[in-house]
Amino acid sequence: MSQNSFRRAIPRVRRWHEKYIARKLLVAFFAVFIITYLATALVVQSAVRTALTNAELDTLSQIAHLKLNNMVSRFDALSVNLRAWAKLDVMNDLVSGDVDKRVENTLASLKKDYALKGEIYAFDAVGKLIASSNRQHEVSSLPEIWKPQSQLSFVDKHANPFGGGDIVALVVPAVSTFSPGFQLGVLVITYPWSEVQDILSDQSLLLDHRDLPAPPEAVSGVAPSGKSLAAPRHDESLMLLGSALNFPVPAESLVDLAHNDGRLKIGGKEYLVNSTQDTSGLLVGWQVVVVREPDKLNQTINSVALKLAALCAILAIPLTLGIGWLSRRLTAPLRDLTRFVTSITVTQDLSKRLTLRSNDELGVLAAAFNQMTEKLESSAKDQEHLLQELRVFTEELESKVAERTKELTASNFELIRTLENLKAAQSQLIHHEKMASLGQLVAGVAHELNNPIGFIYANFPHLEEYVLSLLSLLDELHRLPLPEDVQKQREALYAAADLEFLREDLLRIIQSGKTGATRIREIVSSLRSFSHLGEAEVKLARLESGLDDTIALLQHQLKAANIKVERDYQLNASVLCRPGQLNQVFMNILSNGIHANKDREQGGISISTRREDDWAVVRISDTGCGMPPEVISHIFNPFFTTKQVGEGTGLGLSISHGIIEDHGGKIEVESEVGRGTTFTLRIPFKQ
Amino acid sequence: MPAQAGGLVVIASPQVAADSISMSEIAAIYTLKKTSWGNNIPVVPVNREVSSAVREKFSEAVFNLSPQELAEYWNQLRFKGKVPPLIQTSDQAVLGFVRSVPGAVGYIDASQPPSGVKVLLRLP
Repeated sequence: MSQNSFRRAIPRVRRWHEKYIARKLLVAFFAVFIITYLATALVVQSAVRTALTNAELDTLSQIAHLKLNNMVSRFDALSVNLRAWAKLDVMNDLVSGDVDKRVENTLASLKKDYALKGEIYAFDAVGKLIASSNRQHEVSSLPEIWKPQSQLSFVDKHANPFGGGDIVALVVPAVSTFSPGFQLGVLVITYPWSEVQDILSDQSLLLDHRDLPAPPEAVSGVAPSGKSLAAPRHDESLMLLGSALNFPVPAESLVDLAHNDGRLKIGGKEYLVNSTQDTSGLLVGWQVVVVREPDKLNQTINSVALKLAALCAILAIPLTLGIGWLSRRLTAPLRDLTRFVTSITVTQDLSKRLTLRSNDELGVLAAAFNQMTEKLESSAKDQEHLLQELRVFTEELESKVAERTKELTASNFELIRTLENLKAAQSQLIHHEKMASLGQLVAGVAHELNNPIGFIYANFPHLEEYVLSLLSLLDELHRLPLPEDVQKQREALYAAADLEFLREDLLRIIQSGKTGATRIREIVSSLRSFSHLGEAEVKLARLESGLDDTIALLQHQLKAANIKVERDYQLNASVLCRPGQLNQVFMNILSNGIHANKDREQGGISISTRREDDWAVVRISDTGCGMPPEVISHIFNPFFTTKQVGEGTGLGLSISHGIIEDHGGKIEVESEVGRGTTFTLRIPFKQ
Repeated sequence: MPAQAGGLVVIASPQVAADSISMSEIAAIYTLKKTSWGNNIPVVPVNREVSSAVREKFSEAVFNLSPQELAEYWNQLRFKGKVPPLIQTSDQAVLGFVRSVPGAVGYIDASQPPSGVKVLLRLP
């Protein structure tokens, strides 16, 4: 797997296992398994490798031992034999120069009987060759290399002095049996090197640790790869005696081979090496090194590794399935719990209960969760109940607040009204006071005027009578016969005085004066009744006459304002009322009507009287400026006025309202800005 | 095989100091009773093979015993740890041996010239 795809695979695995605990468990268990298995496999593998290597090394060691022992035993046997042969009686003949050829015969028969591979040579005490099993020899004296060193000496690999390849030799001095210490000569047995090489056979090296440097001639005949080495670490010199390997061994590897075992590198390739060295006996210094290619061992180790891997795969499948099953089973209650919780969260249904059969922690958790949902449910119910109560309370509160607000508003309204009433009462009071004082003034004035106007009024009928008498007298005088000239004079006087005109005008003046006096008397009377409102007497009166009186009083203003008054009297019945007071009402309304028409060129006031059921209805309409609604709502308030300061008292309509109410009637007003205002007065016939 | 007519000559190596030897001394030597010549020179007796006439003569002359009887005696001695006299199979060999080995004593036919050795005794 390349680095990149591996990097991409990790988050994919993480994403895969992140969602479910079962997968996490699976991954974790699998990882534990893999790690454990890998650790075990590594340990096993290394143990197997070590064991196999050790076994192989043991085998190599045994082979080396066998080979060396073979050599040692061979040479030991040979040396034992040689020692025995050196003690043969016949060897005494060496002293006598083997004149009887007994020694030679013996040697020949020994070689034959023992099937010796080499030759036996017998030298006498002075080194002269006495006898040998080898008949073809040119040398007759003892070679230097064969000089006996001790009882028995082993001469290492060397060239045969008698010719014919490399040999090793055993040298033993022949000692007399008769006299200890008497040197008979030397017995030498040779052993062809090829035999040693045979024992060495394959996969082996034969090394020689020599204490002394070998003589040059000894080295020269050695195998082609053989070479004397001066190992720097050792005093001894190391020499390759023989090699049965199928590859050349570099000289620098020899020291390594001689002193180490195990896996060694020879010429860049690894080999298994073990050796054994003869530490005592004849072949001291000889070391058999067995070298084997580790291919087979490695193959075995590799096959073990393969088997371990296969076992891992074989184990992994059921283990993965098992772990998967187990983790799913372990997490199944958890999943149920999760699903349950999710369903509760989604549906908000707290009445659900979780049933888990397990008695483990999850079972406890489920039980606890059930308890919790129970508590939640009850608390939710409580909450709902509380909410319900709260809602009810809120509603109650709201209604109460509304009620209170209403009450407050009502009381406020009441207060305002009371205030207004109070104000009205106050103003009424003030007005009353004002009126009282005004009334006193007016009463005084009226009273003072009443007498003179009474005179005038009372004198007018007399005046009229007298005038009529005078006029009739004048007519009678006229009818008297008179001289012409007097006649003419009288006529001239009549004409100068315009008597006809005087007659007509005088009567008219008297009539007008009479009317005026009557008006004055009425005005005074109104003033009196005005100033004595409560005292005005109730009587049957025609409303139309009151209206006419009022118009007459206002005649001057009507003319000034150029206002036409239209009358439509259809009531024609007397109404039980206080006419003076009603006249005051008419006066107020008509005055306002005139005032409303003040700015118009041609104004108009229409007055109508009707009988509607038990009501006498008077409608007074003007075509004036009209009033906006906010003004209408205030017109009956005392001291409310739209007139300039000083023009009006603001009391007129208020007093009128009070008067009509006193009569048990109603006063209504309709007005439209720019079109005019209509006052409707209703006065009951029956009071 | 040399002529039987002649007598025997007892010879010794030149290192042996004595110039003659008695019959009893020879008997002591060959019965391995006398083992030294003195001066640290061992007595090394040399015998002939059993079948040789010279040895027969010698046995008769010295011990008045047959070689077989003597051989038995030596075999007994061998068990006692003593080395019986060495065997040489010819007069020349005896001569050569005696000549080379100090203290060696042997016997040869009188007809043989005893060169390089001391003649200690002549037997008829």
